[in-house]
Amino acid sequence: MFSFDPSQLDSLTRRDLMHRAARYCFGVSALPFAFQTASGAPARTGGSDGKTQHLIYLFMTGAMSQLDTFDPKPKSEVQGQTGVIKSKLPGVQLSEHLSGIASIADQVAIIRSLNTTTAAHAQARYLMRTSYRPLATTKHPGLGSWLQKMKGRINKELPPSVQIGGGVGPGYLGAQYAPVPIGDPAKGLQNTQSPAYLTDQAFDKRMALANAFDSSFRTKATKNSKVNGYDDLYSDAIRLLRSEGLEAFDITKEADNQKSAYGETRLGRGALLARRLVERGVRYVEVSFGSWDHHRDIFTNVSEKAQELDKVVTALVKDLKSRGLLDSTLVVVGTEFGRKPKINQNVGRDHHPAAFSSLIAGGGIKGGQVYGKSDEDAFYVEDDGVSVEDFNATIAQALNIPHDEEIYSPDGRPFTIGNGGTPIAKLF
Amino acid sequence: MLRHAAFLTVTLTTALGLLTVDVQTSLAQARKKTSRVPAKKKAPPKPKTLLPTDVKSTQVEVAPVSPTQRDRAVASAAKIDALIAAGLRKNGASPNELTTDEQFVRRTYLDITGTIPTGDQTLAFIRNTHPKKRLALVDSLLGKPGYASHFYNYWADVLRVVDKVNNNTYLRPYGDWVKDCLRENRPWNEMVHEMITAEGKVWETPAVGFVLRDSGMPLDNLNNMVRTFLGTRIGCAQCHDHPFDRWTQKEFYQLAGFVGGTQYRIDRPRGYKVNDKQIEAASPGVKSQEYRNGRNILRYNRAGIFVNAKANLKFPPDYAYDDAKPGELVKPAVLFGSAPRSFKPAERRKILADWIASYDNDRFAKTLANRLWKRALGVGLIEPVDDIQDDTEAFNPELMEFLIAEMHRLNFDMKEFQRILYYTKTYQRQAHFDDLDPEEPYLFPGPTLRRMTAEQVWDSLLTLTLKKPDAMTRPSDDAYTSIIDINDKTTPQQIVNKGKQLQAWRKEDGAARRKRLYKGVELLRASELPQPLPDGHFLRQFGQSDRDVTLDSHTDGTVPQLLTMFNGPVTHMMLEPGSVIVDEVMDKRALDDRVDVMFLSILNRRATSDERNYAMRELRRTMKDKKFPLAGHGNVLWALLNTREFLFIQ
Repeated sequence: MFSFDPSQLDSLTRRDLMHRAARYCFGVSALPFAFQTASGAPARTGGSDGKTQHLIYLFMTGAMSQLDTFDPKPKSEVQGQTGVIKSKLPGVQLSEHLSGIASIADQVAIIRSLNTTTAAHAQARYLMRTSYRPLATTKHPGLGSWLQKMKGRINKELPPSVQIGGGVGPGYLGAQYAPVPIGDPAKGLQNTQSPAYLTDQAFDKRMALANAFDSSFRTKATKNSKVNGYDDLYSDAIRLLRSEGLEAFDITKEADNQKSAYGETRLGRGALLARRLVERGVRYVEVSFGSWDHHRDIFTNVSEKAQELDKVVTALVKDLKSRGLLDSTLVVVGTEFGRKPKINQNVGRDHHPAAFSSLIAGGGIKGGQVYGKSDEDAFYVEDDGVSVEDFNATIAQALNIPHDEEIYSPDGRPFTIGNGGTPIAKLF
Repeated sequence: MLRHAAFLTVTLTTALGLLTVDVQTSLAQARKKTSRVPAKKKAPPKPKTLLPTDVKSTQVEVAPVSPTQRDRAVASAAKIDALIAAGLRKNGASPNELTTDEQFVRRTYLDITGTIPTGDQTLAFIRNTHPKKRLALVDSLLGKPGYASHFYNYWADVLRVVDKVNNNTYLRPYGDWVKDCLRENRPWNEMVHEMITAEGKVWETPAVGFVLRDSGMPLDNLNNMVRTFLGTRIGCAQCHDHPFDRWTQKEFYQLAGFVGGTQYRIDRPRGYKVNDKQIEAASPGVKSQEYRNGRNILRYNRAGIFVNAKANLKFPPDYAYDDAKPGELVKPAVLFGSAPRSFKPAERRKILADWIASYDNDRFAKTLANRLWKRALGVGLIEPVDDIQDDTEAFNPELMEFLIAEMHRLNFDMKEFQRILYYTKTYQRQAHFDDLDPEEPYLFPGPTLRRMTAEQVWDSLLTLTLKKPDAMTRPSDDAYTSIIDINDKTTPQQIVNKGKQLQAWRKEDGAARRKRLYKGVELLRASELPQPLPDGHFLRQFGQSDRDVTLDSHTDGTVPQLLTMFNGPVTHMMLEPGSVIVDEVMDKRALDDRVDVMFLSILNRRATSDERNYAMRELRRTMKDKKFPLAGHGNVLWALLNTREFLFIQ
């Protein structure tokens, strides 16, 4: 039965590995249906059919100040030292740190009426990312896992969702919907660098050996889907290692002018990597950037952060547009909550959930508008309040995910992507 | 011979491309040694990466099993086997064959101590001819440090053990307490009673960790408590009557009445009078480390479990049923069974603990027995283990009843209970490989095939690498907690001084930690590493829980796992000079013997003759290669690690 002719094994293995493209998913679970692609989404080899396919979410951790970015109040004393500038939209002013975004204000939508229910960082982050309050009993999936679940994957070689610098896990959806984490965007995907001596041929040799040693075990496990599920994983992993798409993770391949447009910063590199991934069909990339928790010396600290954000968002929107990807890619700048308008005794601003801002662009969003309004001090929402749930339902709508479609956790509880929120119609 | 082995080791690693030494130099040296030219007194080049050697080792004491209880355990095991046999017979099914010694030794080491055995341990067991060697192995492993370490990993997953709840709440002593209890084999009912009733700061009464884990969320904690200890889910009833079970929102609140008055912070008036401003004034400034440390010290000291006897739970403002009014005081009552009707508010938690961790509460022993059964056999008699309802029937009801009776007889001695399970023929049978039919009850013809947990994979790789992994424990936090501990009389200046001491302690701690690193990875047993590990760590990649919700670990394969096995530092560490597997392989001269060591160490079995031929051919193939004669060695080891057989427990 076990005749290990190496040449035969080699060819068998190769065939095995190379021609197993049918059922595809990045993870494997004991459940057979986990191998099916979700929702029967059409598999495309990248590009766009005019509908939004991707989400790049720039997440501002620590809670970004609304007054010092998207919602300045020059007439109020709470504005402090942050100046304001005109934007391309008549009558719309932004903080002086956002000159780049001001120049593309006709292409983005700014929301000034977000409000949330918590002013604790971790809870607020979780709520923004999942639409649900954290519970000690159920873990909710983030937007990346939802997108993957509802829309399937586009590129068969690359992971469908990626998180740079943090995020939430797949929750009750399980490991196959877990975004792949990346710590440092400059270093790319972990463990994809093979030693120089290990040629494809040498690697195949090793795999052939492994298959030979594994064959008696495999023979016993022909009816075990967990064991067999590794077939797909191995072919995925090897295909990824050899794919041209892997290059997407290497931002050094980018032209110098692009690198300097985004900036040689963490956020800049992250966003550039996000664009490279989205271009090759990755569904979701979240880039975390912080900390905006400016309880002290906010005017010194926020200018640096805001200018970095400005540079990156401007570069990203322009870059996506010039590549024809802005219609198919939704860009979101979100944060945890806002900051208290009253400047505290340490020249900082404290936590403030009652009003905060965000930016949303591309992906069919009608640019050139400001949605919602906060009061004269950016303390309370005055018009068109947007809850976190509404915000996420809006993101869902842009991505063609029904915001009210229920899915069930393994313990039978129903959940929706926006947790009952309503999409903001005026943004479309 | 020794020198020979050393050279081979060096060449082996370079041959594998691990490049721990400069290739040219080592090859030059290698040539000198093989041509028997007297070696110059030149020291070999210092490897760039070293396995940690200079690590403080600790003797871990673990309670042994009692020799006098063996016969009784054998009898109980036989009873279990009879009940399983009856269940199989009734359904016209038959049990699997018994495992081979090779299968048994691997499975038992993994199930009891959380790691594969070494090649030597495997061989010693296979060669042992004593008729009761299986019982002896079980007994011996139950007294090893690995028993507590592996069992801790399970409970850390169930109990969601973390080192810190948030920036205000330190929790590490709780996890350490759980580990200590398992080392001492404290009865489960005692542990649970203590967890529910403990009060104080976590480093004074570490059992407060169970409640403090859900700081600020008493209702969620109650929900977790009932789910963890009674295998019952009442969480839905927190907001509305349970849609699939019988619990009403009123019942939920009545039970929650027992945890009314729970506080997670010392009240300011009673507590420390020092505030951040005073610490700032006593420190060099807000940006100084002393100030930051001082502020954290204050926060940590304010955290703990305190019960306010005057505070009571009320029905929530949105309570919508007719049986109570929003804002009405809740009168505590248990979900089923009975509990004293009248008690002082200060006794509320004790009454609750008495009711949960009781011999009369059927679900308490049932939940524990079922959990331990599942750990040994792969599937619970009731699935899921923490969603027991009134009409839930076990796969084998008589067996479930017997296990509950045994748990009571043993007074919740978890080690003795597991000894019985590992003694059974049922456990010792060949694994069931096929997928289970979710519509059909599993009759336990043997344990099910399982993929190793993340911790088992990690600990097994450590076993292949380090000489004494069990003696390398996480340094105690005693010094740390004695620095941070303050009382009502501690002055701001003293707190700032403590902040300074903390800095010194951190420096020392960091230096000690660096000695345990290999390519930036800390080489300690999973149970001795920070809890939980950060996203992206090997353990998390392989499915360790992030500890947010109970039993959230998984054993699903993912692509990043494979990439780690292909190219990650942890797979490569065992191929470094000085690793157990490299030393044992290179200790043998004959290639044939080397193949034996490789198979016995990684798959814990001998190679079949085909496999042996294939491996030998690979070893020989590269021997002629002038540059990398041992590349074939590396390829065979790599290939064995990348089999599914390695990852699965048969």
